[in-house]
Amino acid sequence: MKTRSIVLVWIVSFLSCPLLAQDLTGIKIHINPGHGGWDSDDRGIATPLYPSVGPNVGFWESQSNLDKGLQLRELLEASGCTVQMSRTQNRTQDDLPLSTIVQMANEFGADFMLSIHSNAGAGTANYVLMLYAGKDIGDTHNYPTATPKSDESRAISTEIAKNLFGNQMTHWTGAYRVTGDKTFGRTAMGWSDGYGVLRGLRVPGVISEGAMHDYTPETYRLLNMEYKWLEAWNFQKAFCTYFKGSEIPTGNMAGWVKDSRNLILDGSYTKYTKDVLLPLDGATVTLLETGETYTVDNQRNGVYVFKNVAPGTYHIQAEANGYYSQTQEVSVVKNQITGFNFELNKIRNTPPEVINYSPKVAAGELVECSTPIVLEFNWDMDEESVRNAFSITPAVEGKITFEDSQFRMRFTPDMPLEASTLYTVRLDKSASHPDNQSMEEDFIIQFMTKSRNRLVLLQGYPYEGSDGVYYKDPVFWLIFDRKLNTSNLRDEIKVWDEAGAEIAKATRSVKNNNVPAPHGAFYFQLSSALQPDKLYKVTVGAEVKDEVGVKVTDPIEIHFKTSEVAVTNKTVIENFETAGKYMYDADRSNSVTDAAITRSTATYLFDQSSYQLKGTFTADGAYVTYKMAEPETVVSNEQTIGLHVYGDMSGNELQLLFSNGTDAVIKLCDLNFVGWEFVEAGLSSLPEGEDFTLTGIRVISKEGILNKTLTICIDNMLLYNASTGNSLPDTTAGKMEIYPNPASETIFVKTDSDEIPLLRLYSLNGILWKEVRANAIAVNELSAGTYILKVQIGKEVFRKPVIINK
Amino acid sequence: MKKLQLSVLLLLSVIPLLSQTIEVRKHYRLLGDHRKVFHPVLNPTGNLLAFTTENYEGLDVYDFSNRSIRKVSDEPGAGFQPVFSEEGKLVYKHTVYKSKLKYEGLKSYDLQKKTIRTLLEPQRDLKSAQKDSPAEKTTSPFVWSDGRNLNIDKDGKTEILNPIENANGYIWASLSPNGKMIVFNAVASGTYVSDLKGNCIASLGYLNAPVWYDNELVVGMQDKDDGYNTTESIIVMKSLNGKITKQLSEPGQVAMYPTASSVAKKVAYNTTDGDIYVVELDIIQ
Repeated sequence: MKTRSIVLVWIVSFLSCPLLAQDLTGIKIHINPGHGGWDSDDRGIATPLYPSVGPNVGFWESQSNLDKGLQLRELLEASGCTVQMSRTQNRTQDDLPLSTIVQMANEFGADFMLSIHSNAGAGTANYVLMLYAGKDIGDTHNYPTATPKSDESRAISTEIAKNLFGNQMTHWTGAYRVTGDKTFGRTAMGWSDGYGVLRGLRVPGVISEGAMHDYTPETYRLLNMEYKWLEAWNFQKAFCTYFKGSEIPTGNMAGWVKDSRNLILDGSYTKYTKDVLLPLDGATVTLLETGETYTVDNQRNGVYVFKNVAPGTYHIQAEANGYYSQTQEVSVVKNQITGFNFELNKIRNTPPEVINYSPKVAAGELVECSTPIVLEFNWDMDEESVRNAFSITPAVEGKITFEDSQFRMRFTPDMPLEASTLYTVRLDKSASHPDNQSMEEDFIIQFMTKSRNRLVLLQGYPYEGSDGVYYKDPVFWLIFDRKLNTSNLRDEIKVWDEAGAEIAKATRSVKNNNVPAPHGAFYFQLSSALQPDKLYKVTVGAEVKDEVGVKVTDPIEIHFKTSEVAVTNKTVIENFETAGKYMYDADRSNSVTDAAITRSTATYLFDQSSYQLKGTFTADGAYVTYKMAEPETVVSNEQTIGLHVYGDMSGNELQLLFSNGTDAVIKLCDLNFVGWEFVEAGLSSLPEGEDFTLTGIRVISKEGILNKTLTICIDNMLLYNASTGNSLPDTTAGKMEIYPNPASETIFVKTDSDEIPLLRLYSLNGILWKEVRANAIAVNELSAGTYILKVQIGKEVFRKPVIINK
Repeated sequence: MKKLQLSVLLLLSVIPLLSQTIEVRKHYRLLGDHRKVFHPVLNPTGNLLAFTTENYEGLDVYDFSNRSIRKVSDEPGAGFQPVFSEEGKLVYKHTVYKSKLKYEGLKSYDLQKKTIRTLLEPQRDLKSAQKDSPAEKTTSPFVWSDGRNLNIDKDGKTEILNPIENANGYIWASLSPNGKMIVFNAVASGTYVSDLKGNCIASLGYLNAPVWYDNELVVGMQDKDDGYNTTESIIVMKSLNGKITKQLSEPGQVAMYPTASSVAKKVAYNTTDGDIYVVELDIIQ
């Protein structure tokens, strides 16, 4: 009875509507379906079904435009219109010269010229753009040539744009735009006089960019012939409105059929709103009143279309294998496209269960503390029930996310898992899928974590508090305890000035993991010089991670000050411009190979060269000596020697050698920096009242990550009577108490904050010796000396030099 | 194309055998002012040159004898394919829009009296200035293209020719000075010469906007574009027998839409910047 009444309503509405095509008799339209051929400029795009494009394979704008044009011709000719097409095939030879297209339209005497295209928007944009022959209202620019019929072109273009924008099957990233080709060409393309296909035209015309064919979901829709027919129908409707002020007496039904919650899995392309849902290839849509059925194609668009339907009330039913069918009542209106998009629910007829999981480890095998917890199911799951059913013991704060259309759940801890801890993960059997079936039993896994749960910065330059960083060409080198994952280093490690502006890296200078295994490193220089005598900082983000995903977790800030470095107001006793003044002294070296000292014109600070010292240490306690060919510099213990050194961050010790019959050695510096620095050594430890002659330079291998290799340069050596002086800044003053200082057992930190501070203790050469989150740090196991204590509370970092006594 | 193969022998009977060289004697820009002018048309004797705007709005005539310009019309469409008649008239179209549809009328400008006479009131589907101006007939038969068909009117009958199989339209058609040949462009195929029955007798290859220089030489343009705008174009003179190909425009110019007069030994063309250049030739037999 119900069915009979539906049919009756439909028959009445059908008979009440004249199904005559709109009369466009006598109107002449020129259709230019854009570029022709299968060439590189014809916009071929591979699709899942056609992974490599070729003639008639994959999406081609040239073919898509032609399909629209041919279908428009059919519609217009059925309406009595006289149509000329600039091409009816898609061959390279159909890639007509612009002059030919224009001449065809002109000789034909068209009332309107429509150039059909689709656009490209970098894969992310999708909107309608009408470029009509002429210029925008209000555009006062004086173009070289006028365009007749600009107002008429704009009027038809606006009708077309409104019609195309009514498409409810796509996602528009913005409103439609109707603009003159001269205005657009000038402002967007930098052209002087518009588009060639509209120049020289003596009739109204437009370039219609109906959608963005490189927005991938739209690419797939444009492979559907009926979808392209709808665009042609919208052109026809615009002509009816403009030329006759009338309407097309029939309507159309169109939409798509997709899974209600499963997502497109292939590809990482941009998808907006419902474009993320999985189109159901092969689904059928039936117009129940007529029995007409549309089968969705296999191009992953879900599109269905019923053309030229008499106005009235209809029922359409969508069906797909493995899904519950849906029936929808719709009203078809003349001159309109009635849109309805089906989101079908999958039939899930067995209970859910976990079919795979991570971490999955053998008995006794330990798990990285960075390991996420992942559960995979046989069905797409109900998110809320899974969230409620999930637990981990000991408790861990974290986020639950779903992937693969809810087939996979991921728990990502906010902080790394605790080291050396046994964890139990449980998914209660109450977890269910959308058909309200729950798991038949609880799912439980256990695992033990490894003993390491932080990526540690072991050594770096600049190091905290360093104040001799060469401002013109600073070098940055951060060394961690494990090889780094390089995917985010450039974004997570940055240099900032005092005003908070980031200083860009020189992209080509970046080197990743340029240290011996198992350590990791990030090395870079800047794209521009810094300012001398200014404060800067390096930040290491929490997301910097090693190869197994263990992160820094607590962000690091390294403060440093720039320096002129090049000292020019002292007496130069050696400028290293002449070769042969120093030589490798094998007799006074130990356990070193490949030692050499040569003049370098590649790295220098003054004039045209420096000396480069090279060597490889092969045993603990190794050292290398470079002696002067003709010792001549006489010094006393009241003086100071300064040297410009391009360091290698080896941690090795650089010494000066003297003799007056008795040999003497004075430490110049630790090579705990990279790039140019100025270092100096007072000679007060030489015997008072005696003259000594400088005889050479020695490098002694010390403990360190890079201590086996020596590669440094030295430039202008100075001799003078007073030190230039250095001091380490204290940024904790007035903000916290740090006591005792000096200390021998424990240093306490008292702050006003409720937060337990993160304490890091560095040596002066930037090596991190100890890190704790507490209000006190034990120092009894450290050797005596001056250290830098960094106190981090929230995002603020303070530092203070501390002295450890024994 | 089959017709082309079958009809090549006709070339010998229609086209005189050539043995000549072509030299450019003079090359100059015609109008020194800053007007942007396009689509030049020389009269058969080459002493007058009609020109218009890029979109064919208005029509002016330049007189080489006294270097003067006279305004013929400001009307839309007036500059599209005007015809210098043998009777000293310049026949041209003009366009008006009624109910959003294009109508074209026909007018005749008397070059001596400087008067204008309406030949046809605006109407739909006006074919061409020659075809639709019975009172101003210049020669017979008439040949015209309409973007789709290649048409010939002779002995009072209109016949549609189709010299190139599966051609997607014909444009730029014109009758040779001796009235025995037609040059035309078959869309997506190339430019050809046929006899009055549609038998192809020469293929000129890629040569757009072709016009007759004399019965042996055709001038056209070889334009290239990037899909957005014309990027390069040269003016080329070609002989029907394929032995002569001569570039007439200057290197670096984007030169388009030539016109020619063998009587005056002139070729004129416009650039995309809206300048008209004239080339004067020495043709040595």
